[in-house]
Amino acid sequence: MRVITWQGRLDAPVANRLLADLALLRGQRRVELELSGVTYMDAACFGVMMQLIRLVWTRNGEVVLRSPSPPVWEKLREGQLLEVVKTEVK
Amino acid sequence: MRFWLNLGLGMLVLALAGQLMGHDFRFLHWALSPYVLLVIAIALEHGWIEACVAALAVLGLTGSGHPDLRFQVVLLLGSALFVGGLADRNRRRIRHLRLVVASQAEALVSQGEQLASLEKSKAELLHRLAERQTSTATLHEVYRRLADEDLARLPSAVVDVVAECIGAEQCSLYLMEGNSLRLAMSKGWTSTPEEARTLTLGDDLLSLAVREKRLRTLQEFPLERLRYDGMEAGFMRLMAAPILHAGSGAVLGVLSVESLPFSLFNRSSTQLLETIAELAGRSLTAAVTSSAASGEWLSREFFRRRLRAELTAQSKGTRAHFSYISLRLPQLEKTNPTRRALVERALKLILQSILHPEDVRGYWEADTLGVLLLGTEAAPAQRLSQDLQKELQTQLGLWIPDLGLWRFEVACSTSEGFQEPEELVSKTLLGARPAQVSLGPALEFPPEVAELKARRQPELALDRLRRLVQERPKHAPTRHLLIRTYLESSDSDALALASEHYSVTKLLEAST
Repeated sequence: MRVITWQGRLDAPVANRLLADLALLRGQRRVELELSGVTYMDAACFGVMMQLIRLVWTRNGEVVLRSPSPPVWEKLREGQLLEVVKTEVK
Repeated sequence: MRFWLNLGLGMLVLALAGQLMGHDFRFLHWALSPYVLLVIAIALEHGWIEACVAALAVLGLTGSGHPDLRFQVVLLLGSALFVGGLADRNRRRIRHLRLVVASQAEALVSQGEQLASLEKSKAELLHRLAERQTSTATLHEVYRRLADEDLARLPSAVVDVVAECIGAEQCSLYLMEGNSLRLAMSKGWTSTPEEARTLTLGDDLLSLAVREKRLRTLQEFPLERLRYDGMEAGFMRLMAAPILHAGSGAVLGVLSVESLPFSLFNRSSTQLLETIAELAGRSLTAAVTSSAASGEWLSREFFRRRLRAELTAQSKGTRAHFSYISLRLPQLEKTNPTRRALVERALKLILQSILHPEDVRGYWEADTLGVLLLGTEAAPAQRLSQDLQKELQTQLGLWIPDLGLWRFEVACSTSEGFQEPEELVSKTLLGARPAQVSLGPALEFPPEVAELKARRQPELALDRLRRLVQERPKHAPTRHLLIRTYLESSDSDALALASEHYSVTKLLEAST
C-alpha cells in the first residue's frame, strides 16, 4: 500500500508535478490518497487523479480517497464518483 | 498473499470441522463438499487460476487413497475453472465499467469547468454590453443636451455635460478671441482666478491643444515646460480638448478639465471629452447655421467672436475671403416694440430674398444689423450690397418712411486699410465711417383706401388692399411676400396699417 498526500491549490501549473506521483506507484494495487489539505482542484488536477485511479483499477487494485476537502468533494460530486470511488473520512 | 492466507484459513477451518465431525461428511451431498465450497470461494474471491491452485492443494492434502479420486479431481478443477472463469469475466466487466465511469467523470468535470468558464465569459460580455449601452446612452444624452441648447445657453450646457458625464469636479470652457482664449463658462470653482479669465496663447496645455488641434493631457505635457499655468491659484489643467468648427476645422474654443477623481483620469474619460468637444463644435456650427437659416438673429457677442474667428482663420490663410455688411437704423430705437418686430421681420425677408440663407450669418442688436458673407470677395460683396441697398430703399422706405437716415457700410477681408483683424472688427462692428442714405418721401394713399381710412374703417381698408394685391399677380415675389407678411401680421394698429397702405400704394404705382 502506498499513501500519497496532495495539498494546497491544485491547478494547471501543479498538474505536471502530480503526474510524477503516478510514476512512483510501481505496480501498487492499493493506494491511499490523502486529500484533506487540498484548497482548490481544477479539471486538470482532477484528470491526474482520475489517471491514478484508472491505473490502479486496471491492476485490479483499489484507491481510497482519505478525508477529501470540500473542493474535492465538489469535484467528485460533479463527476458522479461518490458511489464509485471509495472514500474515508476521519 | 491474500490468496494463500485465504487458502490456509479455509484448510484450517475444514481440518477443524473434520476433527469435530470425525472426518465423516457422508450426510453432506457431494455437491456440498466442504472442499468444493472452499475452491468455489477461492474462485469467487481471486479468480480461476487461484481456484485451480486451491483445488490442487486440496487434492494434494486429501486425495491420496481416496476411492473417488477421479470424481474429486473433476469436481474440484471443474468448479475452479467454471466459477473462477465466471468471476473473472464479471470482474473484467466491472473493471471496464469503472474505467468508463472514471473517464466520464473526468469528462464531466472538464466540461463543467468549461461551462463555468463560458458562464464567466458570458457574464463578462453581458457586463461589457451593459457598459457599452451605458456609454451609448451617455453619448446620446450628451448629443441631445448639446443639440438642444441655443447659443446663449450652449457654454453652460457644455460644462454641465463635462461635469456630469466625465465626473469632472472642476472644468471650464474657453472661446477663441483673436490670439487669446476667453473664459466663457466654468463649473466647480467658487471663484475664478483673474489670470485664468483670459489666456494668451503660449506654452501652456490649452495653447498646445489649440495649436495641435487635438486633445492633450497633462501626462503628455513636456515636464520641462510644466511651469506656471495657474498652478498657484489652483487652476491646473488635466485635460484640454479643442472645439473645432465642423466645416473648416478652425478652433472655436477649448474645453479644459482642472479637477477629476484619480480613478476617472483614464483613457475612457479622454475619449469621452474628445467626443463632447466634437459634439460641442458641431452644435456651435449648427447653431450658427440654423440661426441664420431660421431667421433667428445671433447675439452680438457671439457674432463678434464668430467674426474674430473668421478673421483669424483668414489671416492665417486657412479660410476663403469674406465680407461684412452693416446697416444702422438710428430711429428704430425710438419706435414701439410692435413696429420694431415688423421691421426686424421685414429685414430678414429682404436679406433672405437677396442672399442664400445658408450664407447669411447675421445679428441684430439695438439699431444695427450685421451680416457676414462667407466666401464672398469684394466685388460680389459690392454687388450684393448694392442690391440690398436698392431693396431697402424700395421696400423699407415704402412702409417706414419715418425711419430717417440709415447708415450702410460694406467691409471686405481683402479691403485696403483693414489689414489687422482687430481693426476690421472695430470698423465693421462699430461703424466708424458710415455711409448715409436718406429715405424717400412719404407716399400717398390710394383714394379709396384713404376714404375708408377717413371713415375709420380699417378692416375694409385692409380688405381692399388685399384685393388690390391679389388683382396684380405680376408683382415681384419678394414685394408680394413682404406685403402679404404685413397684411397677415397687421392688427388695428394704425401705424402698421399705414405701413401696409404705403407699401401697396407704391406697388400699385410701380405696376401701373
